[in-house]
Amino acid sequence: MAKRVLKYLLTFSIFLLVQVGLVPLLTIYEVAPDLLVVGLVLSAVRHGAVAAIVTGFLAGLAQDAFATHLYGLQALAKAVAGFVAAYLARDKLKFGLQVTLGITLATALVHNLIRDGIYYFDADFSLLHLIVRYVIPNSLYTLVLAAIAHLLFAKSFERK
Amino acid sequence: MKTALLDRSNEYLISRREYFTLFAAIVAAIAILFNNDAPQIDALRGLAVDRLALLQEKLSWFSRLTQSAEEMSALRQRATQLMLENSQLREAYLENFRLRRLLEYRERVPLQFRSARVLFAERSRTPNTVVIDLGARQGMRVNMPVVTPEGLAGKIYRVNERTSLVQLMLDRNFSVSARSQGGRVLGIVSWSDTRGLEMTGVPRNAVIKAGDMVVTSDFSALYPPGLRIGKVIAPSLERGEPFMRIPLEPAVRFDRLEELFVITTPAESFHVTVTDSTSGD
Repeated sequence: MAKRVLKYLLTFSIFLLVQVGLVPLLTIYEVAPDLLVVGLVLSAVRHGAVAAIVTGFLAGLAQDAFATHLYGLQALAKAVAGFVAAYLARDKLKFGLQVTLGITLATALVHNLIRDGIYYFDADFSLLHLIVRYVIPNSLYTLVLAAIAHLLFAKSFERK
Repeated sequence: MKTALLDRSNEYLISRREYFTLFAAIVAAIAILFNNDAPQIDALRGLAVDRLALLQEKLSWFSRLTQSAEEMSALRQRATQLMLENSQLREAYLENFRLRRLLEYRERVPLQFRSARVLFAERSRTPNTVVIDLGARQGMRVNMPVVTPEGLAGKIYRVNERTSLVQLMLDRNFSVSARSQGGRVLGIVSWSDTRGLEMTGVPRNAVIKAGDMVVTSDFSALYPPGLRIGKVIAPSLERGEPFMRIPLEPAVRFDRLEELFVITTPAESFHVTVTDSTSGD
């Protein structure tokens, strides 16, 4: 049990380090993927809702410490994202590429809507602009990462 | 029977554990998020307070049935009007001796105000504020003075659409130019977290005694002169200090703020008798 938890924590620590250290280099016109969202989908598929929510909250807090000046923002977005991913994955037994990408896209959209919605709350542009300029592009970029992850580690996307 | 009930509630909690976890995570994340002082969070806080105020307004009819709030409000309004008039009359009386020979002497504009209900208090935060049910829609603007029938309470710190934040005199960043009502001793009144309300910058040789009322001075850029601030407790002279530190007992009971009055008269109309006023606040 302890070994499993340790492995789980280690995996998310690696995800976090890659997200904080490498992903900024992949940013194109302020659009960046979120590897931790892919990790949350993986956690939701394998371990269920509670694990995904708690992981989302803690990973979000850790990410907040590195990235944004709004402490708690990523924690909020990722806790909700964890729940959404688990909710969408709850009745599925097989997670093919299409199902995984569908869940990832929905999760990323909700995550980015919360995160970018709050981050740009006082900005002088409309909700439509927010969605078209930030939410959708960031989500699609995350989807690309999820597709690569699924192709490389298809076995990981299986319910435990 | 009891065990069965307990089992059922446990079962319910377990079957809904993901919702409880989500709820706890959201509450914790929002609590952390709202501790930030970023402009986005200020805007969000303003929106949340506005919505809460709207909700409270919709529900308040019930509580208002039990107490004749309107009557109380009208009485408080009248009391404040009288307090302001009284302050002005007292000022006029005292000034009469000094200003009689001044040719530029002109009449003061009567002060206009609006009554406001206190919705929430954010005492633990900096600034020490309360939220009132008047906002930009009702013509509120930043820095408008806020009073009670007893005297000066604070000023408008931030304006939302339907609500405003009032920075109370108990906030450490609040200061007001003041003078003693009898002796015309000038100083700055501010709040110290350790010493409470005090008047500072008073010269050692100034004549001021316990029980003297301290009011807003004519040199304040934001507040009308003559508003009661507090009563002198006991002036203290410290060795080697060129100035006195005078502890005050606040005129306003800050633990019982239910209704406040915002002075809507433009600040430039406060100082018609003193043409050379400086911004002391």
